[in-house]
Amino acid sequence: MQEEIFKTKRASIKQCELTDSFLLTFEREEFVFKLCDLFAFRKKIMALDLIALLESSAPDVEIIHLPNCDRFLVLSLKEILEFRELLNGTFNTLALNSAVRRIFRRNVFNF
Amino acid sequence: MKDVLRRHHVLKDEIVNIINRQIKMEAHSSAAYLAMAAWCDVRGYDNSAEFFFRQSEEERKHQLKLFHYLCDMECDAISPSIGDSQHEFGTLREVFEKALEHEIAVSDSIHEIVGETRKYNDVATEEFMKWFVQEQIEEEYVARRALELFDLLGEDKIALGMFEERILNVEYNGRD
Ligand SMILES: [Fe+2]
Ligand SMILES: [Fe+2]
Repeated sequence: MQEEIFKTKRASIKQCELTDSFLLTFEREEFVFKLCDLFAFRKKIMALDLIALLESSAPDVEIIHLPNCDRFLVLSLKEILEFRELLNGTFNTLALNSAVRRIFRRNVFNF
Repeated sequence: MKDVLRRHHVLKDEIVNIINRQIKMEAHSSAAYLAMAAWCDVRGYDNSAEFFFRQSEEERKHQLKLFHYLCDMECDAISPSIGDSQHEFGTLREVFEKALEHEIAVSDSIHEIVGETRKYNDVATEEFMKWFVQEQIEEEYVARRALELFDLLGEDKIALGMFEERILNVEYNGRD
């Protein structure tokens, strides 16, 4: 079973309840992440230097390697911003869910 | 929805970051002590060299203890890059002065981590850090004691010989 965690215009991240993994969909392409890989991916996206990208004479795209599935993403400036939104939204939702679950966990022992 | 965050990423980002900073600090300490050991070794202060070689290994163990903790909690442990260490010292005493300074800085940093764990109510990490708090009490004590030997003996040739005889026996045995 999959639950959508966050969605932007062209991308979304779903959580797979069975495998504790995440499915990122972007323009009909799918990428699977374990949580640790999602953390690493967020770190990569956040570390990109947008100003340098704007100022460079080369076309403003960034090539990002995803070692977890050995694939590449080629992202334009706009798409990088969208991914930032996607990942921030995802991690905020995860943190919120974590806080809610924490309250529910008190009921694990229902005596 | 399952709480994947709590299941697979036990610690808060802020705690992970500050422990990674400590890992770097321990790695740097290990390297710094190695440099001190080399300085002593080539000048014939064999026991002081041995003292710092042992210290260097201790620091490496501290680094690994923290490193394993992050791995065990399924958090990102970052293998640190290490900057240059100080290789030049004026006197043997100066080397030990630096060692004490170093340990005090490490203690401050450890205490800061404990403060952070309290801020985030991370009881487990606070408990884990207790070992380091105690360790720093001992490390500072030893460094301070070593310096006091200089006060006691002086720094002429004979005094330095006597210092060499005593340095490996300096240890902490706090009252039980
Ligand atoms: Fe240490
Ligand atoms: Fe130390």
